[in-house]
Amino acid sequence: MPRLSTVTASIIIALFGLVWFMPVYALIVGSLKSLKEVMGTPVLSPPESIDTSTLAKVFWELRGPLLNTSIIVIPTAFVSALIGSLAAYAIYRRGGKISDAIMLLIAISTYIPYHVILVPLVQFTKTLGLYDTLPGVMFGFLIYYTPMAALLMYIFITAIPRDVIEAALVDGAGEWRILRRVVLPLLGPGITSTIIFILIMTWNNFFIPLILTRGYEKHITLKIFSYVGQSGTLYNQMFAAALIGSIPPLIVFIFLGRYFIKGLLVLGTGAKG
Amino acid sequence: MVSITVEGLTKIFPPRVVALDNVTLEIRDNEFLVVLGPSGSGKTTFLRIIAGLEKPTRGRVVIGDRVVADSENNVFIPPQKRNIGMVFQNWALYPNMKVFDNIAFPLEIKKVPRDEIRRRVKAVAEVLGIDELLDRYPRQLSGGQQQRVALARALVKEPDVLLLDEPFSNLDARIRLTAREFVKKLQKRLGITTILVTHDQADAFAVGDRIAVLNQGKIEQVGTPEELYDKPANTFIADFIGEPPINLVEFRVENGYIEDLGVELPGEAAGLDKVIVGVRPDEAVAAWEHLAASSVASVKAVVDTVVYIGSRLYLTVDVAGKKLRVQGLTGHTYKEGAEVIVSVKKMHIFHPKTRSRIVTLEA
Repeated sequence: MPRLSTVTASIIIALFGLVWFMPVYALIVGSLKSLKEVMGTPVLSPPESIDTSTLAKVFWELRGPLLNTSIIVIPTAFVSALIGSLAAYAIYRRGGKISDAIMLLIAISTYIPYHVILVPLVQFTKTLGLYDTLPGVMFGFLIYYTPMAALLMYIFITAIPRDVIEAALVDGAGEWRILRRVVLPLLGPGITSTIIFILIMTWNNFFIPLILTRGYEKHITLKIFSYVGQSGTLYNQMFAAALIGSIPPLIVFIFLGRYFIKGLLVLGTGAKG
Repeated sequence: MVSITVEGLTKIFPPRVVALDNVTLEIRDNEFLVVLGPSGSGKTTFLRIIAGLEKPTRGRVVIGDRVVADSENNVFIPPQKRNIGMVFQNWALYPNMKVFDNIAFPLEIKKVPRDEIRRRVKAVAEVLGIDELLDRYPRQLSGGQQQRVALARALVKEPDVLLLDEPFSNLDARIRLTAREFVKKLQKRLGITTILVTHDQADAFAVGDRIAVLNQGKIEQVGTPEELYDKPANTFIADFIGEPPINLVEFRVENGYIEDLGVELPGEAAGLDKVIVGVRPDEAVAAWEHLAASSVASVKAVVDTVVYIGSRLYLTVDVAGKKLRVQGLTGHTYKEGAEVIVSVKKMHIFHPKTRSRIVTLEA
């Protein structure tokens, strides 16, 4: 007999799931309808006949932006996780008031709204000659997400028992060796979590590619936005674009989600993962 | 030939926690020294300063013929360069490495050739009886096995000094006994200068050649286990060492005699108007009549409560309104409220103010 609380929990989870699934469902059915049908029927009504031609057409149009976005976000996620880990380790090892202050600054910087740094970021990127280039977007993302990575990695590093690092010191290891042989291997789940997090955040980011590039081709979110036309929107194509654009982060989470959760669990168990 | 000298060691954690207060101590070559103290006494800080994991606020540490820390001349040699083996309280094995790699790690850092690493790891693993476990991960080992791996890792580089931080406290009672014996034998066999830190007097008595008792950052007494037990420097040591704990009772002194006990005090103690009398439960026996065996004092008392501790019988008795715990004779039946005679074989007299030991009266 399942307990009453389990039943209640299941019902609540199902309700939440339903609410969350609603937009996805709308995307799926919307992208399978013809333009006439999508304009003429309620959003949630199922399609009369399944028409995959829109999906195929839009996917072909999206191939360039999908590739560009991948080229941007994958290195961004790895590089920011790496820099973040190094920063977090250095701050953790140094300790003391200055380290606390730096960590506080890092934490605050993750809260800065995009709009505040819009103008300087664009000008800086132009000065570097990176405006409207893929490296330029990467650069913008790194500026924005490296502090986030450092903050996350710091949290993961504090879960490593201090004893283990001190044992390595007594064994004669220098900082680089401790980082390479002891800390990084133990941070595996944490680094994976951070990479997944930043992959998804940058894939879904709209604002930074918007301000650092011209046109719609350099990031998937821009391309999706481009389906909102000035004189009228092709809703079925827009649905299809949004659906295709959201599949990569979904795949990442489905296949790597367990590492993400493992990373979060590590925080609770003191880096046993 | 490695002795350790510690001079005027003081450690202050800002803003004003004094963990160690002017500690001076010498650990002889091949000696097994135990630093014993209650929690918060500064004993772990002491060990960490020797290891180089903590910098002394003031003072000097000399290992062998090398000054490794000297606050006055700003000398500080980091832990990596001290050639020390250390076993942490929870062993701190590298969870991501197999046992072999854990033990090999210090050698790998020293760039010892691979063949030799393999040979030395095998050798030390054999000594510690863990040669079957080299392929496992630490999480697959029991507490006792993890401890041996930690010992092996500490010993494999042939360190000048071995430091052990509460190595037995995470072991269950039964393994503890074997582990103590094992560590003691190993230390004697390798002849390595060793410092062990513990809060457990049983650990200290089992393994220590000498014991330094630390209390609130200060050394109260250094001596062999027998010295600490038989000649406690003050009431803290007397109370801290010995199980069941010593009776410490204040008595008035009149005309050079301890009131209610009728014991004559020698020398300066006779001039005081009060003394603290320390009697170990195992050195006082309650019986029906005055025992023929020699004693320094024989007093009438009333049985208060009767308890067994282990296989031994102890009584709490009332002597002139003061409660004392004494030994009972097995085979006797002691009834509460019954009158008995307590014969005291040995009695420590402490100064009521300074609380240091003035004299020990022994039959």
